Amino acid sequence: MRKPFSITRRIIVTVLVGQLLLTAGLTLAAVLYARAELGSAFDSTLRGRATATLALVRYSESQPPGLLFDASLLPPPSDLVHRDVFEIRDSGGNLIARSQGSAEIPGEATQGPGAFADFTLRGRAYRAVTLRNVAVLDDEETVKVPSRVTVIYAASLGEVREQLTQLGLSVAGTSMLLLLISGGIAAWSVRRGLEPLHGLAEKAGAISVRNWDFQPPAGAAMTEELAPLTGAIETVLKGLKESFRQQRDFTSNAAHELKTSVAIVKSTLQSLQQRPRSEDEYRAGLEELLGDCGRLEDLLERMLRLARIEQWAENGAPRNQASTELVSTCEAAIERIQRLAEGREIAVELIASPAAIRLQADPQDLELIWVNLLENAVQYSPAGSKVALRVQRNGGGTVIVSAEDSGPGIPADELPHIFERFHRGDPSRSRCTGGFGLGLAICKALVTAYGGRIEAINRPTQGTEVRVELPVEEQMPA
Amino acid sequence: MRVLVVDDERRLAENVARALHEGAGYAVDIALDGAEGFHLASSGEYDLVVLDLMLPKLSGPEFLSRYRKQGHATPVLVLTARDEKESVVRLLNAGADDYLVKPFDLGELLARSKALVRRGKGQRSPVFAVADLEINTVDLTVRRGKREIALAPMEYRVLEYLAHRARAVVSKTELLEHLYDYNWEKFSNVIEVYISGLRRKIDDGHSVKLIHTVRGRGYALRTESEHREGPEASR
Repeated sequence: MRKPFSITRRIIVTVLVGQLLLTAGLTLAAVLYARAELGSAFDSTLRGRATATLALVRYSESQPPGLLFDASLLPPPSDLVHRDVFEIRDSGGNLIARSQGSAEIPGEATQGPGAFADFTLRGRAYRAVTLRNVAVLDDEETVKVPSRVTVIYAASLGEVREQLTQLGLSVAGTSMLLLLISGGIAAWSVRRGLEPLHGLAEKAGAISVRNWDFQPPAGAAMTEELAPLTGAIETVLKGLKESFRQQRDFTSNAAHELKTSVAIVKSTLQSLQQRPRSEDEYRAGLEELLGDCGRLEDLLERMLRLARIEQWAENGAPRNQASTELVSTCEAAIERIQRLAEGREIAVELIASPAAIRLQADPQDLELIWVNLLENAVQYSPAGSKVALRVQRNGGGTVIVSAEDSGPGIPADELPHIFERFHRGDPSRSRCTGGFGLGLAICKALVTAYGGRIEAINRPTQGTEVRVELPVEEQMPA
Repeated sequence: MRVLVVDDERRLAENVARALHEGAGYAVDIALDGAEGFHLASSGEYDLVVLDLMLPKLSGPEFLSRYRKQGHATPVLVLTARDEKESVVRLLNAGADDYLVKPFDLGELLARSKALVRRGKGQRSPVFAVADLEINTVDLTVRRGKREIALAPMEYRVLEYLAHRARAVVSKTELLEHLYDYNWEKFSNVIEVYISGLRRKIDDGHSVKLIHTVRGRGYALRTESEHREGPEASR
């Protein structure tokens, strides 16, 4: 397995590498700048010393008359190791004076007037300046001798180089120290900055089926970068909690319905047993029992059907999907609902254009959807009213089938729940008509499985409309 | 005794009502949703409420907590589909006195109902004895001495109610409220008819009279000596 990636490590390494580069650049710049500054200062000093040395050359009338160099006036060398070296020659190129004990300055050091040259003498780096044909200071008009001399003066660069090295080292050293400190600060601050993340992880870890509470810790809530994560956790959690609640409600509702149905049968039997009954009473009891069993059967049938549809939708198991004509399935559904509707004195009407609309679906599934929609509409409509099943072609390759009733409508807070399993709007009424709250759930499962949509809306005038949108079969070219 | 059955499943409610009526001689009212049930129960005229847990409009647990918050002491027997420990504990903590898991046994329902009614009236024994009169609420029989007395159903109900109220004076209004369900017409003079019937069947030929009329206040089941010493409740 690969080593897990660490944000902390990466940030710290990035910070350190950046700072290291910065440090190197800074040191280099400092050294270069110092070298330039020190170099020009060195050059000035060199020129000054050369000029000062020149001042020690004077004209002497003693035998033979000529230019003399008074070495005794030389200042004591400041650095015995890196002694300055010089040569003074007259305009004829004859050596007038030379620094004490020094070897000859190599020719490469002699440059044009005022120019500088670097050279190596006895393994040390030197820099020389050449002052050419400079007049001797105490040049008197009376003396008619050549009085112009050339001075080559050189000094060791060792000191300057040493200074530069020291400067570089101290800049680099200080920078490294700062770098370590800032690396430490970065590590601390990243660790601290990630603390809300740990808090968040801890809270998220505490979520379980028994405890859905998720309160993002204050630190995480105040951290901008964690907001998307916190939001995502909350959204996912809400969805999970909701689906878990639905699952739990389903189990509990199913148990309630099944056990209640069994309780009815059992209590009817025991009630018959409670005391001796007349033949008519037994007969009525058996009649009731038969009805109770039918109800139980209906409940089981619906639950199993719902489970099968959902399983089918989940696994994509093959289904008898033939090209089916839509309006004929609506007609069949209306015929099936007719008895229930007549019992409640409700007229069921089909509103559809004669044009054939074909869907890729099992005709029985379609019929089942319409039957359930109509059953629901009929149950919630007042006696003597009308229920309509309306078929409309929609532009986007879909068809909309809606069941419209003129009942009291559905309270707004109930609308989102009416497709949940075992949901019942007004149970005291739907009980009488034998509903379990599974009809619309079956509709939704089927419609979803066929890639459609189902929604319920309260009509502005009166009643409710449950609207199913299904994809139609692609038109074959004629 | 008068019982309220709150269950949205009409067939189940009717079976429970019939069992309570036939097996215990209780007057029974049925409510098909929580709201109606709560409205009826709040009248305070019931000696027992049988409550289904899953109810439209007002759920069972909600019913319970509101009912108890209003201060009603009437025992509540809950019918539930779930027998997990948690849900049972939650029910009892919400103020239920007992529970039955569906599908339940009608005999058990009857026995638990009778026990709850007894406890609600501060009684323990299912057999009431006043002097030599014995009222057995298990098989609904009445004896005085060694002689079994055959009573009409309503006569038995009046007697049983008086016995449950333990020698106290019970007003005619209270009897009317607790012996009839709301579908029955209430003729106040009918109570007098039952009392005189009871008096004839129980006290005739006995020197110790047990059925007493307290003028202007009501009736009591007790011996004369208990009348003088016994505690008197106005209701």
